[in-house]
Amino acid sequence: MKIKTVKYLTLIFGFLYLIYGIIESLSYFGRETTVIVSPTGDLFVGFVLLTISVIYLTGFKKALENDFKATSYLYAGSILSIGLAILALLVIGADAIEAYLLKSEDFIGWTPLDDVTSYLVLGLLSIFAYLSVKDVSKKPVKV
Amino acid sequence: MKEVVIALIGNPNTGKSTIFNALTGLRQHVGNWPGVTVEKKEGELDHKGIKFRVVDLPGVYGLTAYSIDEKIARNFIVQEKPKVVVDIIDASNLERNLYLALQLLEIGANVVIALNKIDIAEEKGYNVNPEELEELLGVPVVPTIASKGEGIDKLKERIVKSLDRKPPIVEYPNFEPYIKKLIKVLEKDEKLIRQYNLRWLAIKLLEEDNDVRAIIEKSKMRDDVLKTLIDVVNDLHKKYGDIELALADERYRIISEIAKKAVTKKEERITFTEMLDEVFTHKYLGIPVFFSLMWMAFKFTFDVSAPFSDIIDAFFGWLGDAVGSGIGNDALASLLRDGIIAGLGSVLVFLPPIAFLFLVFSWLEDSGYMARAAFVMDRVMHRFGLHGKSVVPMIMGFGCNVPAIMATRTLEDEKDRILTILINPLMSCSARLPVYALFAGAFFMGREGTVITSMYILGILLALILAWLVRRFIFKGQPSHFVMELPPYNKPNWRTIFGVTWTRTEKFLKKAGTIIFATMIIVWLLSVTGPSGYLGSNALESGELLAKSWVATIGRALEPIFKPFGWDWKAGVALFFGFLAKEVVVGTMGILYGVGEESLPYALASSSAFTPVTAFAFMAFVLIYVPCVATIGVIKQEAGTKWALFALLYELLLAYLVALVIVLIGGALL
Repeated sequence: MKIKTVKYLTLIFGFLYLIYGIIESLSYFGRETTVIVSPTGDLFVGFVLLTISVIYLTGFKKALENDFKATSYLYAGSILSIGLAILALLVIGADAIEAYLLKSEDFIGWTPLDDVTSYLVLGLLSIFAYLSVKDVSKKPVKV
Repeated sequence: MKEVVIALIGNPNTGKSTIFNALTGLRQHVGNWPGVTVEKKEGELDHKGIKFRVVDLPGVYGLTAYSIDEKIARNFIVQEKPKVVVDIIDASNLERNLYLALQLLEIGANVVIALNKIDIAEEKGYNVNPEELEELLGVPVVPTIASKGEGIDKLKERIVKSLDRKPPIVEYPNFEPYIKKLIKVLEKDEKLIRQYNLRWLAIKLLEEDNDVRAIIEKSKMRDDVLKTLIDVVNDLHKKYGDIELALADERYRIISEIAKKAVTKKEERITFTEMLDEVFTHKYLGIPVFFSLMWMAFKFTFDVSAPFSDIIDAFFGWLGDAVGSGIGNDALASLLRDGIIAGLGSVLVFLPPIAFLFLVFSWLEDSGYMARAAFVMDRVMHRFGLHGKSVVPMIMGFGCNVPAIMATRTLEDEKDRILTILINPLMSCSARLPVYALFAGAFFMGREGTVITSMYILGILLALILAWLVRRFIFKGQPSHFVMELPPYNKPNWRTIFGVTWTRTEKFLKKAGTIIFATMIIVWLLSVTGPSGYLGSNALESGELLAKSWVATIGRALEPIFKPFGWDWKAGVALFFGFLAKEVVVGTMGILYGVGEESLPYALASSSAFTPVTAFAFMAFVLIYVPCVATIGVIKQEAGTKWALFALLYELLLAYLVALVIVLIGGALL
């Protein structure tokens, strides 16, 4: 793996998470902006997305300095991102039980698309970041 | 079948518990070591027609008997003489782990080594040769990866084969003449020969070990042994100065030679643990990552467990209707339907979120992250006058305050310990979760996760402020620093995780079946009776009738206290009974509002008893005021009556003050 790849990936994901972190945070305060998916309106989602963004961007800064530790930030950022996506999928599963099995009143007309969140989409995209770094222990990064 | 006793020993974080679980399965018993509160785990293993009793000794770095754990481990091996001692060694940290192995051989234990975590050693670029290690140490060495169950069958085989093996002797060339001189005198006492390994006694005498010295004091050869010891020690002092240090150096020299021959380093590699720690223990990123993970944990707890709660809810609703309609006697039908079934149902509906919370916390513990959380938060803790070790009981407090307060025993300094005990009730235990979930669902729909997380954060902030105040005005001075080892991150071992989750969830179930059950019956009884006698089951549906009940009498007596918050007498009654256990608050409300669990959030939201602001204040009050009777009891046991009373008073006053501030500020803003 080359440091250049780390540089691009951390920059791209850092900015994506930054944009959605800001959108989520603003939506909590009533300024709703929809970019592909609607924001959840949960301040903590904004906080978590901004935290992941800072992790990626710190990795980008290290990559600019040709520091091999940049991979650590790409790895940790992608792990957290995928963890969030798994959480979103579990929530979809739970809501599906409510809607289709228990036929709960609150879930009348619910479709899985209703639960597609920014952190699900970004987390699924982060799989690419994870795949690029998952073997770094066996094949060290080339600076 | 004759039972053979074997012991498991190892440094902390070597995977000892995983190997213990793999060997014994579910046939385990947990108790305490005699006279102390250190947990003792035993299990059974049948292999090749032999029945083994496997004793899991505490995780220790050595057998010098400086700590209670070391003392327990050493005494067991010396006195109980297990047929085999399985020493679990972390292959990725071989040299440090071999120190314990050498000390075991000194005792004369029949050692079998489980060379665990060889995958992590390889990931770190080390190649450990088990055959070479076996030859150098003279004991069987079995490579294992306990987290994947690899090598466990081989380990069982080697345990059986080693049963009648004679343990090897470790020689310390620089000390041999002196050790032999002492053995010569010691062997004149047959009692000592029968009970102890004389080489070990001699080595420990050289190290001025108090326990061994006490053994010699009772020997018939006492005078001769002590006379020889003085001669030997004088000689050694002249040569090496500190003998204990010199012996430790000798052990490390031997270990270094062994490691040189048995381990080859392939190349410098960055491990996944190092990569994650670069971020998770980062000076600035560590804390936001901690809060992010906590939010994820709570989101998982509430959102994913919701359908399971609904299933329980539907079941109790059906059961209440079925039982109520099938019984002719009104009082008995009401007792069963409105008291027992509705009361228990409204508590058991929270079994899924509680089990999910325990599941996610067990996973975080098993993965190795919790140790990082303690490390990261230590920096913050110290600023507020708390000791680093306070973090562990504080995190445990999110589960239950009772074991968390008992866990403060790891703090050596009395002031640090009492301070940690005093703030622990502010850590929001799982019993408070049903109250948050109920009110968040009723008044903050769609933002339940955020509102509930804010309760946990409020608890942490108040605990830190209180710690700072107590440290500044009562326990003046600085807490001492602490050192902790960060274990490598592990892939989840689901067996261990589910085992821990079940043990903790079981406690909640037991509580539901005892204290909560009894309280629910009392609340029902006080609701359907009053100064005029039995009011009928209609009392739970008619506000007019309920107002004539005993429970309304209690509520009205408490009402002036809670008037500034705008809460009605039902809230006062719920808080009153919540003193016994926090889960009771929800059950009591269920009975007082005369509705099932499913309808309770709607009943609360549609009643004029709460607004979002006063509901938030109620949640904060529940967070802060006395956690439960058991917690106060354990504070009394651990810190004394004075501090238990102090905790009781400050919690009530602080709860009142915080709720008042929320109502005043919230009322002014909204």
